[in-house]
Amino acid sequence: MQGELAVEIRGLRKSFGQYHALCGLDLSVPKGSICGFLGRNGAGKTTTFKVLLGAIRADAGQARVFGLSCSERWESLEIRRRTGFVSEQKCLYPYMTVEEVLRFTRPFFPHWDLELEKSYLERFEIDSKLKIPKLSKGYLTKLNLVLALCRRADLLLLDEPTEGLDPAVVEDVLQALVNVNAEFGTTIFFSSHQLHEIEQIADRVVIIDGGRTLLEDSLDDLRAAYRRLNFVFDENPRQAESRLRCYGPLLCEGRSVSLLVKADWEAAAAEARALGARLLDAQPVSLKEIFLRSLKGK
Amino acid sequence: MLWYKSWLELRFRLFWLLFLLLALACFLVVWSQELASGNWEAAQMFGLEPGKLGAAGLPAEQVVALASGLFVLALILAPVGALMLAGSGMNTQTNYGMTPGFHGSMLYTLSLPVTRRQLLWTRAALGGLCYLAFVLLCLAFLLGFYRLSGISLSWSTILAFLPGLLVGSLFYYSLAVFLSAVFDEFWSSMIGFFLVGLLGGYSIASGATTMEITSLMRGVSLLRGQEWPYLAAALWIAAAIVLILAASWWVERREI
Repeated sequence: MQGELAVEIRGLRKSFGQYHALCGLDLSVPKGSICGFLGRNGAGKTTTFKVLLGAIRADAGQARVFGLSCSERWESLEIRRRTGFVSEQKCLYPYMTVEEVLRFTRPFFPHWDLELEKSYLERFEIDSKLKIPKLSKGYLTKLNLVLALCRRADLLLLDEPTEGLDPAVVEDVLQALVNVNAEFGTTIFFSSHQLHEIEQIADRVVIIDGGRTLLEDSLDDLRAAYRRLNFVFDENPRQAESRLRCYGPLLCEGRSVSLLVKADWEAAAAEARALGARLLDAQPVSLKEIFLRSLKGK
Repeated sequence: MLWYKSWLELRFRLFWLLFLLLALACFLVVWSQELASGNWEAAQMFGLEPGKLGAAGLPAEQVVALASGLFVLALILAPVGALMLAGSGMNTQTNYGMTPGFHGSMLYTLSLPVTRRQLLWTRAALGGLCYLAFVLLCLAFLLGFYRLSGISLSWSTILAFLPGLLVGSLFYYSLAVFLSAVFDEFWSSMIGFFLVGLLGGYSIASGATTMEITSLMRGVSLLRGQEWPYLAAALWIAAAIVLILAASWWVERREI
């Protein structure tokens, strides 16, 4: 099982003084998958990426990438040989030009794809003679993506990879990620606050909060498990509300009730009917609603 | 390609050092006029006694020329050169903008398949080579200038002072590497300049005792006709080694 996982984290803990960033985090990212990594600000996503890269050491627990330990020096080096990373800040060297950053990075990765580099630079309209401080936030993001994609990594760790990009470029980037996953089997583990982007390309989702995993499942299973049930009551549904709340978060507007249910939605529908409701529909739920429900449920 | 990154980081700082060399030239132009007038009393400023200038077996004007030139080299040029050229490889340095805080590109560096020791040693080595070249250039400049001014200093005379100068420069460079490993650009510069000022001030105030570092670099013992300070040199070399090893330990342990 360990060999089939690109990323495996068990009981990971990390504190910075009094601040507990990770409090027993558990998660797995299967090889060849595209996994969305969700959480509120300060949930521990960036800290998780830093542990995987070996930039910081966990206080307890285990983190492995392709079966290699992130805390062992030489294994961590091997992990970074096979990994592409885009940080949240997207900072690069202020004394270099675009061409100089590329020239500096290429030799570290023997499988660097020069043709792909050329095509991305053209597609993203990046002038290779520009100095890094002259790049706008969007262009800096694009350059970071070029640096990550062209190295033909086995794993891409992307922290908010589309932040600051216009919708057309976001589409390009998401397509590039899907292509690299489909063509080369590259595992992609990326965080984003743009839930629709995760819904668009991810086949797996991990939601964390307070340094712990709240939810981890394939996106299809999540969608199948959750339903939004919309009911109408002939009379005031106040009495029914208290009975139905045990199934999930409830929204009341007059005689209309909307209930977000996980798994046992048929039981919830049956009970609502027994209480005098008419079921209007049972709609699929967006990732945003699942995310918000997970946070409330915690 | 770590050498490439280190060079790109260093190159503009070398230009700043050329300005420092210009400052040395200005000092020497002014000072050479003092020497031409036989102002040996000023030799006291450099830790020498006007009445004992011949102790090194050299003419008085050569002794004072060496004392003054090496004074500027040891108290200003070599320490400042070290602070400007040293780096730890992990912290990104700007073009000596003394920027506070650590630059975010440090995370990009650490995401690459390099060890932290490789980062430190590559950057420190290239900076060290440039620094050595700068120190030797300053010495050659000194020799050339004095010769043009009619003070016939020979290469063998100058080279006698080289070991002391190199030992002191090694210490300052190691200190600068350590500071750049631990602190951001702003604080490593501030603390570095403070320590340089402290050591230089102590040297002047104490009348250039044998054990202190700037005396070693200025060759005060040689100018006074005394034995070369082997013990002092050994202690400062040991201190330099400790600082470099501490820098290496620190970058390994550092979290960002």
